[in-house]
Amino acid sequence: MRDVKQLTKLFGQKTADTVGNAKILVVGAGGIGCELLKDLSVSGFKHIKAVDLDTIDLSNLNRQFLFQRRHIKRSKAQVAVQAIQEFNPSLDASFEQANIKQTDFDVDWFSQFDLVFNALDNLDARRHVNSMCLAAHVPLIESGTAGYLGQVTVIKGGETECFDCHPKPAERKTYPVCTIRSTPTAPIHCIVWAKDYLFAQMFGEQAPDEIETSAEGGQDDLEELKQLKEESKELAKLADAMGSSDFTKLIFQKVFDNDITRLLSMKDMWKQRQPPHVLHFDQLEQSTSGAHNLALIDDHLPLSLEQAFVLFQESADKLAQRLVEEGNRRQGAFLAFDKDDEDALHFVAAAANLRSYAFGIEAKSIFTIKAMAGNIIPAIATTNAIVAGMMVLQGILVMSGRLAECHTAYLSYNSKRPRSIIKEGLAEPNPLCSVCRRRYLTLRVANCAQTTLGDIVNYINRLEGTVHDLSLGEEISIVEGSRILYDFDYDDNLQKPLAELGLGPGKMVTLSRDDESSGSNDTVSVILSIAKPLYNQDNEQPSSPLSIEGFELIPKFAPIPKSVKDEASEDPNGNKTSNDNVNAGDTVNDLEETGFAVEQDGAIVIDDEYGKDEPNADANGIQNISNELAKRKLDEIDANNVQSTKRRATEDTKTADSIEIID
Amino acid sequence: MRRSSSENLTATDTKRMRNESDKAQLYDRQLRLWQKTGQAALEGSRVCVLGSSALAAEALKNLVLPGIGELVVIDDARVNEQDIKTNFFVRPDDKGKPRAQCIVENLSELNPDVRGSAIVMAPTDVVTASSSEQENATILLDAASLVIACNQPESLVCKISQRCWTSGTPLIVANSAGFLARIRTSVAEHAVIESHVDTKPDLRLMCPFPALRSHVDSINLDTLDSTDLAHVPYIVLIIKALQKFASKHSGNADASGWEGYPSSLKWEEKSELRALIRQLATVKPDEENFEEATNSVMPQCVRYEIPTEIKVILEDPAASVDSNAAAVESQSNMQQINSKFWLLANALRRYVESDYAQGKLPLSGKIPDMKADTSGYIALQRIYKEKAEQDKNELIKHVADVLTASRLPADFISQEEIDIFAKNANLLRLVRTSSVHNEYANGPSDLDMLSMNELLSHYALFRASDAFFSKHVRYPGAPAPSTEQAARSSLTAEDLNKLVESDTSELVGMANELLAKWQPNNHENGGQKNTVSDELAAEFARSGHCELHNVASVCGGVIAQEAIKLITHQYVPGNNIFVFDGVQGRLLSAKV
Repeated sequence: MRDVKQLTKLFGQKTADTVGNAKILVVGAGGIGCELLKDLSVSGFKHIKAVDLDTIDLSNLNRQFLFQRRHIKRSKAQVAVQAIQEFNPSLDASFEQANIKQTDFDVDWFSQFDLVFNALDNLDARRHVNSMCLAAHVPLIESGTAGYLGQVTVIKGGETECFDCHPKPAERKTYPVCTIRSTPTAPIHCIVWAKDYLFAQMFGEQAPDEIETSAEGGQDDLEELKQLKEESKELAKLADAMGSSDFTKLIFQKVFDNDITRLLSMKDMWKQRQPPHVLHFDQLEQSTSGAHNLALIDDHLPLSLEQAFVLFQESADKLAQRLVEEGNRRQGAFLAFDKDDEDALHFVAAAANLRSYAFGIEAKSIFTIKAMAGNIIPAIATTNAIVAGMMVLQGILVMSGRLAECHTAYLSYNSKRPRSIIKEGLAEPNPLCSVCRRRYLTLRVANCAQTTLGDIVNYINRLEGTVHDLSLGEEISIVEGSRILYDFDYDDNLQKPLAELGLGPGKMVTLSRDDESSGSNDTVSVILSIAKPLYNQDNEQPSSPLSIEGFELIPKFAPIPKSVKDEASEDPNGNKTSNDNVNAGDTVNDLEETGFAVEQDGAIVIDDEYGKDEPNADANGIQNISNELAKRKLDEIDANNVQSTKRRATEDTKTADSIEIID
Repeated sequence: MRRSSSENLTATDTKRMRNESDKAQLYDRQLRLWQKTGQAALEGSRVCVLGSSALAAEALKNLVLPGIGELVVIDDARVNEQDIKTNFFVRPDDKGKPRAQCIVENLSELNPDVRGSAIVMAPTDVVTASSSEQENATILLDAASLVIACNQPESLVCKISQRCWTSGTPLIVANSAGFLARIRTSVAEHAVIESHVDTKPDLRLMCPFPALRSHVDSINLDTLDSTDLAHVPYIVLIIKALQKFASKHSGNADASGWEGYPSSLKWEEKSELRALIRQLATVKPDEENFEEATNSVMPQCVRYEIPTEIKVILEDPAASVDSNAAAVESQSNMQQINSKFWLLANALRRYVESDYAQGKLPLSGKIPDMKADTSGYIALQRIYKEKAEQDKNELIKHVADVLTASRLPADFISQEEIDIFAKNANLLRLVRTSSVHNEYANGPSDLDMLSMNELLSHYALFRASDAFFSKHVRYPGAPAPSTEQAARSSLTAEDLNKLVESDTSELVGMANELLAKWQPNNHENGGQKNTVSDELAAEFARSGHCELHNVASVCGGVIAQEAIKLITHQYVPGNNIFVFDGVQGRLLSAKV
């Protein structure tokens, strides 16, 4: 068949084979994801898994072309995978309708893939996949789009900049409580009030008021915050009236009359500010009893006071009715704000505009409020098509071992260059990056209900001075996210089993030197990702002591003298895959000696590239360690340069939500 | 008791409303880019595509999704094995079926609002009308809002280009060969009112209009306490400082500062102004609004001038002649966009020349976000908006004059259209590309730009590849179509290598011949002639002009993007060529 030959010729036989055998993970089956899955399915990739938690919505269909109207509300991952399989039945494609941050997608799970594509729309998940790929040593192709702008880059731990090497702008702006609740000055303040306070309190999940009364700023502010708490309580009480005929009137009078009257009574507040006006329900009802028909509201024009008033009642009624019906069916029903839920959007738009009128702030159209409340990023098929196509081309380069030819590409729009891709070579990792410069180790724990935090601390301490020394010093601290589990002054948890601390497979903890005086820059913190043991877990009855209380630590990257390495490499395949039969005797012996099993080839592997299949692997390995160390030193010296280069490159950077674009 | 608002609506109204809200939801994310006007233009458009390979299908996918009105695909190719491997919009069991029909069928599923049809006919027959069917195709071509020719031979492209050029229809010509692709846009004239170009806001700081002057006069900075001073918008601060500057330089410290108010500043005067601004901050000079003021001196304190792009439009002869009413009224909606643009440009020229405007464009009325208290900001916003409104009303008078002079009805241009035009008066753009048929006959118009932008070799090879096809009726590296079927089964890898090798050398020869023809005097590059490398030519020949899906996907995105700009008359289309190199991941642009 000529075409296959042609393709093979263009890619080369070896690459074509690599591509065909590669296991690919696509995270996100939305705008970029659909394009990506299509491109992969007709580019010679065969083994594809897609993960997405989301379901299909009408507003997706203008670009997520694998979906049609009949698929609305169904799983994106499922429908997308079925669609590409229909076009190419020879594909081995599978899907998970799940959140990629779920703990079953642990480092082991990520390790099964040869290449990961990120097609996500939020920073949080992109960050998470970035660190999982770093931990699992899997290359990652990163992407993002916003309107006509897009970006593609390649991340490979230790070789390129990672997603977190440079700070990203915050995805959501936060506002001071008082600005939102008492002294709004801009439309966005009123929208946030309507969405995050009024809507959430009335229809949302009943949550304790989030206001902390420990704000700085003295007695006045404290007084104000107390008042605000009181307001929230009263509003929560009103929610009980839901379903009654004067429900909307009660809320209206509460938030636009009583609360504002109370605000006005705080004379000091309005010395420097323009005071708000009370809105009177009866007056407005009278003035809107005529012809204010909702059909006349143009989504693109700012709402008038009367329109906002009518829309407020209309939408509040509908939402209340929905919630009452839902409540009859199940206990504790609530509504979450969804920008594509018309009633919710109308309620927020109406309430926000009413508040704007009360505070003398500019009114906004429903269309505009939808974008502001819903954090909408414009999106079209064309940009996604270009970005996904570029991603797959980069993916093929990575798979064929041509990382040096990869680059970061920015799709930009400006009048001089109406449409072009700006390319930059992949940057070196930021030597100060707290994400990719950490060391990722896997901790295999047989039984998290028995192994205690103290067992781990003891083990780490015993490594000191040995070849496995993590160089963290005598005193370490252990944290999970922002939660401190252990440090020098806090040993309450040492006797607790991991399970009791909420730790188990899929969780990650950070070990770092608990010593601020020595300057923490010269130490690299260690991430332990907790995983299940590799030996056969199907044994119903744990047969060896190992499977009851033991755990294994795999110190990748740990520099070890040659002699140790030689000993250890006697069993090069060791416990590499879970399906392999483990040489139980060895492991147990290991355990008997040290109490812990260290994965053998893990202990000697400096990097995945070295030490395997290469006759001179050992020598190379050592060589490369020193090179690597030398390079890090150089990087440290160059740290400032690197950063300034980066700054120059991003000087004209526009930030559109979650992506970084050079214009 | 409140009445239900939907009571007095008829069933049809309700249904229409539901459809509209449904559509608003479906297209929400793109409406944020081109608004209702752009969407209406898309929905009223008809796109005609010659060719049905992966490149055409990918481009069309990106046009069907955002909801063009109608698509027509003309091609007689039948689905073969390669299509199934590279074209996502044919299915494995489509083998042997007319490809145009298959892709229209599959693409139509993506958006039921788009009318799709396939004409199974050789694209070359479209321009040589001899049967009634062909005539129909020709009519379709002529009535298209936009024509896209994908992987069509040079001779046909020339004919199509002539036809489109005459009717004023924009044309996009695209070719792909392995990792390489070329996209060429051609349109005789394309006016853009909503260009969405990012420019600095027009604040008139160096020529404040009367209402702005009296507003600034109404604020007395000396009486403000530190809190209030920190909330004075930077616009006011700069004008105050400019007044001080004027008084200082007139030698009369008590003067209002409006006498001798500067209309431009020299470099060192800008530093002086910044110092004057800082002096205004009597209490805390590090406030954000003062910082905004000093930072705005450089971009904002420059002499008012009409942007070059707008000057070119106003000086164009078309902005001075009255239109032919009969001709304008017989035009299609698409064609009328340019005619209306010139009527408005004519009115704008008259406006600018009037005593009222004194050489300035209508104000857009927009002011940027700045540090200010709500009331101060709203007051300022109102002043700019009111001035913009006044300017627009003045412009409306000139529009009425122009329409009368052209004997067109007074409502030929709607208030809404004037509104949008006035708001965008300093963002107008006019695109006139060269024609493809001229380019093919006379060579690229700007060889230096091609060379500078590093795509001369690619360009020359694409042209050589066209010439190669004209000569051999096959593309370099590909067996002749007549023998293709037989060749497929019999051609060994070695045969193919030989073919690629010999075609490469012929292609290099042809490309260098073209280059020599285009640069006869050889004066550029210090006497060094540009030549094409064997390596790149081999890449061409190796591909045998076959399509790669990813390249088709990227280029389909670019083609559709340009098509959407041309159809909506929003954003500025590229003028006029893009080359994509998938090996290097580069998308280069230039003018030919």
